[in-house]
Formats: sequence, C-alpha cells, structure tokens
Amino acid sequence: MSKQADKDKLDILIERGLQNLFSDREPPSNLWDRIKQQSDAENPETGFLPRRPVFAVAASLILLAVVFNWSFTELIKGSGQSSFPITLIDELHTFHISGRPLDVTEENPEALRSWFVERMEFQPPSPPDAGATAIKLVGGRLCQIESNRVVSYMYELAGKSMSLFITLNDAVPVSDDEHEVERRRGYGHIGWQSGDMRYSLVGPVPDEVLSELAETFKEHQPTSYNTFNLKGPVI
Amino acid sequence: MAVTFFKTGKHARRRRLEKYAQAALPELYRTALALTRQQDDAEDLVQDACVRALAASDQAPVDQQSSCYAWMRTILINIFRDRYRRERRSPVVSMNEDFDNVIDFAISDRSTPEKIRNKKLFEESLHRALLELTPDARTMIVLHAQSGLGYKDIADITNVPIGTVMSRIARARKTLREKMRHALPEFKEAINE
Repeated sequence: MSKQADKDKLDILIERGLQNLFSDREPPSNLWDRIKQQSDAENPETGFLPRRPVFAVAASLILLAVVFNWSFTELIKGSGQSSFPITLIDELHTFHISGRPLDVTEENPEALRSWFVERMEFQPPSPPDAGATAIKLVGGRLCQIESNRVVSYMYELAGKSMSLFITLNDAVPVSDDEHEVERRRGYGHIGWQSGDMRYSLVGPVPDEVLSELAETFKEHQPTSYNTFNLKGPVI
Repeated sequence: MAVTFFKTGKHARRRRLEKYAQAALPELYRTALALTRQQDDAEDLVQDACVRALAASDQAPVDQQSSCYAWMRTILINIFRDRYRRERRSPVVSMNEDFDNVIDFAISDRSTPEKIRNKKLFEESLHRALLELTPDARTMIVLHAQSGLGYKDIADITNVPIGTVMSRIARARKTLREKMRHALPEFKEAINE
C-alpha cells in the first residue's frame, strides 16, 4: 500500500473518528436536574415561574376573574352615572325572563308600603294612585341596584307587568333628559323627581302609554320626604 | 394587567427554552466531552452553559429549535475558551498505550467484543490527540468535524476571521494525523512531512 493511500485512509479514519467521537455517550441522567437547581438558585425569580400547565391555567383563571370583576364594577359604575335607566330596564327584563314570583303580592297601597318600610333604609312613599287608568297595582319587589336598595312597586297593564322604581334622589345621579322615554329590548323608561325621591317607570309598553302613566302618577303621587327609617331594615 | 400578560409571555419563552435546552443536552455534552479532558469537566461545561442560557432567556432565539441549539452551543464554546484563557492549563497526555489493533473497528461494522474494545481504544487515542491541540484549534476541528459546521459558522461563533479558521483547521488536521500515525503503527510511514 502506498504512503498516499495510507495517508488517505488515516484521514478518513480520523474524520470518521471525529464524527463519531463520543456518539454513544449520554449525559448523566441527573444533569438536567442539577442545571435547574443551579439556575433557580442563581435566579430566584424563576422559582415563581409556572412550570406546569395547571399553574398557567390557574393563573389565567385568576386573571380572567380580576378582569371580569373589574369590568362588572365598571359596568355598574357606568350604569349609576349615565345608564341608570338602562340598568332598571335590564333589571325588569331579567325579572320577567326569570319567572320569579313577586316578593310580596298586595293590592292595597298602604299595606304594600308597610311591607317595604321594614325593609328599606328610608321611608318610601306609598304607591301612587293610578286614577282612572287601566293600570293595576299587584305587589312589589325589593331590588338591589349597586349598593342601594330600591323599591319596585309592580303594576299590570293589559297583561303586561311594569315596575315603578323609587329610591332616594342622592342615590343616583340625575340626567337632564330623564323625562324623556328611553328604550331598550322593547322596554321603555321614563323618570322624574319629586321631593327627595326619584321615580322611574319601566315597562314593555309604547312611549305614549308610558308618558301618560307617568303624568298620572305625578298627579297622584303622595308627598315624599327624606326621613330615614329609624327602625332600620329587617334584612 | 398588561404587566401580567408580558410576564406570561416571558414565562412561555422560558419554558420553550428549557424544552429546547433539555433536548440539546446530549449534543452539547458530546461536544463538551471532545473539548475537555475529563467527564467531570464536560458536565461542568454543559451545566454552566445551560445555566447561563436560562439566565438570558429573554435573548434566546426560541422561534426555532435549531437556532436555539446553535445559540446554546455558542455559549458553551465561549465559556470553554474563556475558562481556558483564565486557567492557562496545558493538557498532559500520554500516548504510550498499545493501539496496534485499534483501526480494526473501521474495517468492519460487526460489533464483536474485540471491535468494540478497539473502537474504544481508537476513540481514546483520538481524544488524546485532540487534547494536544491548542484549545482554539480543538474547538474549531470539533465544530467542523463533529458538529458539521462550515467555516463561516465557526468564524461567527469563535469571532475569528474565516481565513484563520481555515488555516487552523488545516493545521489541526495535520497535527492529528501525526499524532494518530504514532498511535497507529500501521500508518507510521504515511506521514513524511
């Protein structure tokens, strides 16, 4: 065999040897654990990293809960500032689709007011007289709008259930156009103030009907005053 | 809230880097074995490289596994070179073992106990020859022959001009040939420079 041939063969051997050098050697099984330990020790922040999907999911859920809570709070705040009528419409609409019964069924105005007096932080006025209209007092519901308890006297008109919400004036900001009907989902809202009270009539009726009913209630509504219930609420 | 989202992205990036690093561990270890004298040195080198990479996870190219592996290999090479420059230690290697039959493993693919032994002996002799090279030359020949990198990639990793890389690899080959010629008597006459 010539020197050149030997040299070529040696080169091939070396090249192949380098390519396969330590090809059958595996790192120690605990090497990665050692790397992780040292990395976590030198970089404590990484110790708080979510290493498993369950932690990531939990973190995501917490994040969503925070975002949802923030959004809901903002919604409620917003409703108290500029969309109080919409909030009341949504409240009545939700009551209708829930199929829940009234909190109290009572056609006598004074008896109905007495039921609320024990449950409110202020002395609510009696439900206004509907006069000669076809609307009929049927009972009431105790509502919670944001942090305020609100009286809801319930009426029926041609089979349609309506709410007259009553709360204190200073419980919610008043908008300039509250005397106009605001509509949503087929429901209308019209509001007014009297004394210390704020009234909101809500129902699935046309604007003109709602306006006429509101005028009737204004004419017959009892004098209201801001006297806090000294007995305090029962609930 | 934005901060939370950003942190989540950072965590995802870190998890991906950990996944890629773990997958690259055998190749990094193999390279480290070729560069260092002992198994312990190789393990330390890989460990230091991985820890340094994890600490810099925000800079890691985690879009592709191959890019991430190349990035980690560069870190390993840099640590090796820095360490050698700092310690200035010279490998002391003995070449006096009997390697009369070590080339036998290359002739046949059959894995008899004798061929496995010869392969191991050849590997040991080649490793010893590697360790007699300068660390820079060793790095380059390992990256070229073992890792399959081109001259330009090696020049990028080692921050050395490509011409220098080529000449150092050529010299390293020649040196290895001489060392192995002595180790393998069959080729004693092959090198006559």
